[in-house]
Amino acid sequence: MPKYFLLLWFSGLSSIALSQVSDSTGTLFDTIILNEVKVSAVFPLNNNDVVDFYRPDYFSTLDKVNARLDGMSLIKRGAYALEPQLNGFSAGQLNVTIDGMKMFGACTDKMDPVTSYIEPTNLKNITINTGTNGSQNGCNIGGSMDMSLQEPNSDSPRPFYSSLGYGYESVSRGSNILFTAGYTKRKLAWGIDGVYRKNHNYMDGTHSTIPFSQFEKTNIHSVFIYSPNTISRLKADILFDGANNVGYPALPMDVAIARATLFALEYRRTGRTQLISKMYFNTIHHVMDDSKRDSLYFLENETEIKNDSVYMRMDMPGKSSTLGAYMQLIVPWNDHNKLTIKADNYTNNSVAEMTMHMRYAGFSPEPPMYMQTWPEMLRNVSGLFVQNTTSISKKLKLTVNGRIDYNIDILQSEYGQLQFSVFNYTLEKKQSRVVKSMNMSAQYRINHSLSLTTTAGYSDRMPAIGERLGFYLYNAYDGYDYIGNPYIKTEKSNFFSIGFMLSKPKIKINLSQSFSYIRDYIMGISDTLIPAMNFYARGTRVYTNVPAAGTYSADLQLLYNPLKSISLFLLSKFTMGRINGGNNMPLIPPLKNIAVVQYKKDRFSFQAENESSLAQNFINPDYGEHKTPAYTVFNIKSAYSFSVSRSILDISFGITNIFNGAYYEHLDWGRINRPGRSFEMFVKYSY
Amino acid sequence: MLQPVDPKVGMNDIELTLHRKATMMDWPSDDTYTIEITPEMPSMGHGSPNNVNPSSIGNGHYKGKVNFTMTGEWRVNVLVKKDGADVSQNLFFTVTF
Ligand SMILES: [Cu+2]
Ligand SMILES: [Cu+2]
Repeated sequence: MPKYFLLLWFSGLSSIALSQVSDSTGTLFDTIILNEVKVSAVFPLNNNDVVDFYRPDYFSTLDKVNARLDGMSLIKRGAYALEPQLNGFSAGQLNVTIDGMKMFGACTDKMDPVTSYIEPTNLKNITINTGTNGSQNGCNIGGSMDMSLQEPNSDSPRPFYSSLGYGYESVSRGSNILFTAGYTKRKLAWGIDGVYRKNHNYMDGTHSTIPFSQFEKTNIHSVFIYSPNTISRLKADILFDGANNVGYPALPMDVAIARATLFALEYRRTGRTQLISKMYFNTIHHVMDDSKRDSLYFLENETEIKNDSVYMRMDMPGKSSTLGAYMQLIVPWNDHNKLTIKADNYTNNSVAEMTMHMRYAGFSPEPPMYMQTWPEMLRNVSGLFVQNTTSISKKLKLTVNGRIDYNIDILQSEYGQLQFSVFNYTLEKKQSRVVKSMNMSAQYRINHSLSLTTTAGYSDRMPAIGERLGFYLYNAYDGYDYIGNPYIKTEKSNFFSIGFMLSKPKIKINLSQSFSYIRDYIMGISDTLIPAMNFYARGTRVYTNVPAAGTYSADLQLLYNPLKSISLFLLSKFTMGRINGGNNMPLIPPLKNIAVVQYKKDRFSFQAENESSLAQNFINPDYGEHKTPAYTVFNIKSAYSFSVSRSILDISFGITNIFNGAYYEHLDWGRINRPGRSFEMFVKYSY
Repeated sequence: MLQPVDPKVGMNDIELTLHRKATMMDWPSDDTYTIEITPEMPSMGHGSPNNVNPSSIGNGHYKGKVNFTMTGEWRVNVLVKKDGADVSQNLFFTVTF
């Protein structure tokens, strides 16, 4: 038996759900617990080995972990806060939630995906659902990613436990301090965890420093659990995340402050019927900063764009707050059927402003120029989700689910109405719409070790605020100012997926493929009648429904344990996308492989990783794309754990990008090289 | 220029009056010209979309629509034409709000 814990669950590509709790499509098939969990129990378990490679040292932000998840790619604008993309879908096409709670970034330029507010220290697991089948927390077409927050370690032999760690990475002279502590006694449990990170500009593989790649952040999460009896419990979470001075080398500006606060209260009752009810509030404050940038930076680098000698500064604050609640019931209403009902409601309030201050050398400043890039809007969504799972026979299980969302948008800003009058719109203050989703999946067990899962589904999704009411949002990737379309139609998708899973004692293979056929695909279409606003913009694009688009994805995961102490893990992901049958969908990653070899014996472990990607030649130059060359990168890491009486000292050492390769990935904006060789060291003391 | 008296972001009415110089003392209004307007934000070098050129409403008054996409200092360039030929040069009004 392998030494580590392994719970491989290939419930099919439609639900790469990863824990016992998030049992959405069921554990009919393989749930194998090979051994006790040693390090932080439940994590993306089918990626457990890869994740463990990164997790014990917590060097990295969540981004490094996400990059190694099935079907997941990351859009990179800086060293921090990478934006998740799932099989070619991102932003408003994905539901990204925390314990089922809705949260929306406050940046008009997508500098703050919700994943940037969660750290590996406070993450318990990640549940991913692909395609339209990710609609449990809201109708959507591209899938869902739910991150659940860490809970106090109830396995701790002593009531009080704590740990303190320090990590250093040479490439960015980055310091990482983290701590966890907890106390559990009978009915009470309390936990706290925190991280502080400070990274300077990193060096790439050509020994050049990448300017504006620094960041600094603090994250603190605390949880309190009260369990009056064995079947019910009350839980409260508080999370604070604050980042300062975050550089975005691929964008014309940086972030001065990105601050998020989250409060959640949950009541859970288990038993034959399970009940979860939750209330939450979160708020994000985002302030961009261009004071460190040369305002001529873009002009000097772009010959085709008009030249001017000006000095301009912009204030661009954004705010997003969400208040919500949900209630979920899971009822096994007979021996063969299980019903899940979830009712939820949330209200989000978002606003983003821009004030430009212009001065010419030797002149007094001009009057400020003000606009609302996201005019203040309130969105209320009430949804109902119903799912039934039927075990037809020992070999076949069927799951049917549906969701309906009633959506009301209230434009609170009169200024926003005035702004849109320049495009000849007379905007209604209120707009309501209904979106829906319906999915069916079948899991069939062919024999003892082989099974098959197929899913077919439909969903539509609400346009995001920027797609409806965005006002001159500069997109540094294609160089256009984007303008919303207040009456844009919902995006619709028909989804189909098929997955095979092989599970034998020494080898596990999961191969999945999915197709999405999208109608009314939302993208920016050039409008030559609207002049651009930013100096460096090439023109203006208006969010428009394109008749059709399609994506295809294939993912492979393989885990092989030839010996007790050795395991091999391979992850391959491939996606392609077309718009209107012809052009390439922009920002689609090429084939990527991650291969890991791990050796673990007693207190010692060693891992070697290779990450490689093919070139991407299927590009869309109209949308700012360039061909991206192939690359390959090698990483190693080893760890040793000392035990001194009741305390444990973990030490690890690693090198990423051993051969100091200069490379970037296709989804990296600005084709800016990734970090070069980095020596990493980590020490953790646990008591 | 009579309007906009209270300019704001968004669509504004613009009204101009045009008087032709007959003698030193006599400036009769004239409705036979065509007027083209082009708003511009000089410091940023951009304009605005969907403006409506003022057309004659009688008594030398011309009415149209001018769009401002943000607050600040705008320049409304005015080109006056008679029978297709330009009769004005470098004529503009400055609007700051
Ligand atoms: Cu931002
Ligand atoms: Cu302007």
